[in-house]
Amino acid sequence: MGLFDNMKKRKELQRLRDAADSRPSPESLTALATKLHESGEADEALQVAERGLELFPLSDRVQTVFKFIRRQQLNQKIREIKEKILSQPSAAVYGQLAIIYKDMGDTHKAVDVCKDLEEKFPLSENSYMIIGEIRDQRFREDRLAVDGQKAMQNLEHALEINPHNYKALLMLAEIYIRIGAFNLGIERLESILTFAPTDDRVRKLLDESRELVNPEADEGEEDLEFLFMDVEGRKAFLYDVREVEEGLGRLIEPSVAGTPERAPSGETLKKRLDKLEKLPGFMGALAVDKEGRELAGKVPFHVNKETFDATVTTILKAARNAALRMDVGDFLLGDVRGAFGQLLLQYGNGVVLGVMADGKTRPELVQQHVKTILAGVDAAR
Amino acid sequence: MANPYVPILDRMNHGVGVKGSMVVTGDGVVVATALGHDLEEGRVAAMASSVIRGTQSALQALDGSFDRFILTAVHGRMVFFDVGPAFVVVLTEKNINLEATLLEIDAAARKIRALGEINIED
Repeated sequence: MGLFDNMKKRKELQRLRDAADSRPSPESLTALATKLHESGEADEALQVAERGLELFPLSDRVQTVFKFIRRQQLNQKIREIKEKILSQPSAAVYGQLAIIYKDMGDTHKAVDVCKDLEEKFPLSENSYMIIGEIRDQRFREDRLAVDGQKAMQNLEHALEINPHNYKALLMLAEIYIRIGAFNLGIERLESILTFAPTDDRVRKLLDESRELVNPEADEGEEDLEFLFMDVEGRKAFLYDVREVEEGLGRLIEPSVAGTPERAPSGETLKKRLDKLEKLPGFMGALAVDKEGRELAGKVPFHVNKETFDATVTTILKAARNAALRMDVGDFLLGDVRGAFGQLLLQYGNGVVLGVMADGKTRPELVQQHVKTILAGVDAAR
Repeated sequence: MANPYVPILDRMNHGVGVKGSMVVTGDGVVVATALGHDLEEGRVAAMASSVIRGTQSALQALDGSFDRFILTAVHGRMVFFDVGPAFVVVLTEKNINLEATLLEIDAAARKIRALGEINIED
């Protein structure tokens, strides 16, 4: 590459760096990270992508770019491990591969590797630990009962193989504390102290758990299914477990996220939906809360509101059930197209908004309207 | 006789982030399947049938039908694509290049339609 090209490249990189510094956004940070990666500056590319994740953790664009860059860096490592699996397979090597995929966010591949690991090395706890960690992370993020239950099952399985697995015991104890199953949490913490008696954090967790346990509850009576479903229903843990340094404050606190989300005002939403009259080809809109109750709706005069509402809620219900049934977490977005036109269903800030338009309307315009309305929901609370 | 749709699904499954696919009718009859080994055929077919039937019957009230449904959840995506009397259902990771994946699915759907009338055996 000539001198002129090099200068041009450096100038472009500097421009992108300046943009990312002065106006950090998913767009500016991903543009910089991608350019750095293309220029061979792999380490800086990864740093920028990580910064993007910290600032905009929910951005699909940032997540995609981060995963891509990280994947490129890890691909070489993956190749080496795969060669090792062929030549010298072992539970540890399979475990390494699964962990790399897990860290990359490729949980599907991580689980695939774990299944192979379980099949070939049934006496190893690695696969149960990795799947347990994946599920535990999802449980902490999404509060779905199935994730908590599968985390618990896999970690308990790991303990059956190795009763002194410190990480499994601690993760289990924290899961049990979060859902309020203190007796089970205490059991796991006491187990740790039998082989790690000087672990101060565990001792503190144990002391605090003993204060919180219901003295009238039998040890065998903690109904785990009920407790997990309760967390899912409230979308919040009973207690949070904090990482604090020794001597500084409590480790177990009632979860502040336990306060029920206040549904946005129907009037506010109605005003926002009224603006959809300007959307060319607009056929109707419906906003519902997490329980499926109508918050606001708007249809043009020639559309039967009852029919429209029934259509949207039926499709939304089918989509929600599908997501839960396939164990992929909560429903976020549905994009339906066909002879009827197009229907966009999007979840945001405790509301699901469905907007229907005819087939001639640009889908990007519908998406823009939906995003604007949902973004305004939070501001309006 | 080998199922002619499976190679088409297998090829589509090579796309980045695709976990598996199947061709299924609205009644849940599985025409062809190429699923990853952590996906149970019965569960996927039941889910797909429920979405397809629910959506089709809801839209009939508006004198319509659907030919594409992209469903995104926190940890994954499902794409439903009409191929006549059945649908191609593709399950993917959430963070995929959606446009590229849709192109692959569209290509697969065209190949499936080109094979002629889908043979549905109970």
